[in-house]
Amino acid sequence: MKIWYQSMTNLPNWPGYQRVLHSVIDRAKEAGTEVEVHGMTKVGGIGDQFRYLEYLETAELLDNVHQAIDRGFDAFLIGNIGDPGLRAAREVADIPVLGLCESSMHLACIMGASFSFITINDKFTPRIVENVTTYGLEKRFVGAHKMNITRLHDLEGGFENPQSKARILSDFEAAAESADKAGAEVLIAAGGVVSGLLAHWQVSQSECGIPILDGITSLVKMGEMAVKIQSLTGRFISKRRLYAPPPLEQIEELRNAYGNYIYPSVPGPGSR
Amino acid sequence: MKIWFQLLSSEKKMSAFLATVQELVDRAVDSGTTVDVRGTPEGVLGDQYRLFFQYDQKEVIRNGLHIRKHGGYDAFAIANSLDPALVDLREMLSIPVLSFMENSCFTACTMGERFAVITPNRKMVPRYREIVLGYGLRDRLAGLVPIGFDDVRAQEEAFTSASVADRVEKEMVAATRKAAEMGAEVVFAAGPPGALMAKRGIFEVDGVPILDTYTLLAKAAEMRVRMHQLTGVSVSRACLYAAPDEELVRRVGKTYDIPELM
Repeated sequence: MKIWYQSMTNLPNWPGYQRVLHSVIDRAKEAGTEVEVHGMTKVGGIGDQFRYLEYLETAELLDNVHQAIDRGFDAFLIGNIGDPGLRAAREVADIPVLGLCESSMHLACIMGASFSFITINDKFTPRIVENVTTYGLEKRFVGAHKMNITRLHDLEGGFENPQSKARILSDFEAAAESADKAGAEVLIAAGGVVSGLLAHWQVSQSECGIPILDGITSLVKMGEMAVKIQSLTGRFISKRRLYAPPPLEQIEELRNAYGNYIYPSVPGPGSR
Repeated sequence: MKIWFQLLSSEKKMSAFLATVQELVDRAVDSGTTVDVRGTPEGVLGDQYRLFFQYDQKEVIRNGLHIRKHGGYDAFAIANSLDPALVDLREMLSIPVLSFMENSCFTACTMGERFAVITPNRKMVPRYREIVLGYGLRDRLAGLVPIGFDDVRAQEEAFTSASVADRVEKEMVAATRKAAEMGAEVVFAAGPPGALMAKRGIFEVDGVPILDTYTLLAKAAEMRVRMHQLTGVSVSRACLYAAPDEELVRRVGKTYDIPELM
C-alpha cells in the first residue's frame, strides 16, 4: 500500500525533524507499506499556531490531497495536531484520511481513563481544546498544559543541541507534572515535531510515570489499518452526511464555478 | 503473532456463528498472524440480564488469567460487545487487551460524525447506551436501534438457516435505515448480525457503512500488538489500569483459591 504523510512543516528548514520523522515512520510501517513524506513547499511551514497561517497552509494540504488521489495513494495522513483540512479532505477523497489529533485522542481513550495535551505554547491551547470539543471527547479530557516555546522553529534545535534538548525537555516535564496533577493518565504531545523529539530522545513516559502517546507511530498504524479495512469492505469514511461530496446534479455547476479538479471521485464532467 | 479472540457464545451451541467469525478474521489478518476464536461452554443464554452475564464474564476472566500465567498470546481481544472484564483484564495482563465495543465506537467516530448501535433486542438498549456513555461519547451517538432477538442464542440460526439469515438481513437493513434517519453516518451491530452481514458481503446500506466489527477488532489487535512491540506501552498504569503488585496477587490467589494467581 502507498500512504501520503503530510507534515505542515517546511521540511528542508527542519533537517533534524525531517530525519527523525522518516526514521519513526520507517520503524512503524509494515514491510509492504510505502510512506511518502511531504512538507509544506509553497508557503509557511513554521508558524501554524497562528490561525491565518494555518489557513494558508491548509490550502496546500488540500491541493496535495488531490495529488495523492491522482497518484493512486491508498491513504492520506495529516501529521499535524490541529488536524487542518481533515473534514474537507474527507469530503474530497474516497481514500481514508486520518488526522494526528483525532487518532491520538482515540488511542488515548483506549489507553487510559483520561488524557491531556502538552501544547507547545499558550497560543496553541484554544486550537487543541476546539478539536477536543469538535470530536466530542470533553469527558475524557483533563486539560491542555502548556510549554513555553513561543517560536516554533526553536524546537528544531532539540534534535542536535544538548542545551536546547535540556530546555525543551524540562519545559515538557513541567507541563507533564501539571497534567499529572490534573489527573491525566495519558499524555499527548501536541505537535508532530514534539512527538518527533520525544521519539528521538526515546522518552515514552514522563518523569511522573504517565505514558506519552507516540502520535506519529499510531497515525501510521491506524492509516495502515484503515487501508486494509477499505480494501476488505470497500469503504472506510462514511459519505452519508458530514463527509458527503456534492450531489451529481450540482457537480457540473460547482466545477464551472470552482474548477474542474474539485471532488474527483464524483462522476460527471471534469471527473477523473 | 497470536491473538486470543474471546466471544461469550457457547462453543457447542453457537458453533456456526463462531466458525463464521473465524473465517472473517482469517481472511483479513496478515500472514504471520494466528487468531484463536474462542467461545465459552454455555454462553449467552440471556446476557441481556445482568446476572446471567456475570456467569459468562467469569469464563473470560479465567481465560485471561490463564494467559497471564502461561503466556502464548500477544493480545487478548474481547470480542463480545458488553465489554466483559475489560478493565479487570487490562489491570492484570501485560499484553494489549482490546474490546469489541470500544474499538467499534472509536473507529466509527473516525469514519463519520455520529454512529448508531444495532442491538439484539430492546432490553439491551440501556445497557449499550451505558457503555457508549461510559466512553464519553454521548455527543457522537445518534441512537440505538433494537432488532428482534429476545432469545439471544437464537442468533445462531442466522448461520445455519438461510431463511433466518434472510430475515436477519432484512431486519439489519431496516434498522440501518432507521439509524440513518436518526442521524447516524455509521452503524454497527452489537453481536452476530454484524458477522452475518459481513459474511454476505453487505458493508453499507444507502451509503451508511456497516462495520465489519469482528474483522475490525482482529485488525486493531494486530495494530496494537505492533504498537506494543514498538513503544513498549499498552495502557497507562497511572490509575484506571494500575496493576496490583505481585505479592497482593499471590495473596488474593491463595485466599480465594485461584490457581492462575498463585
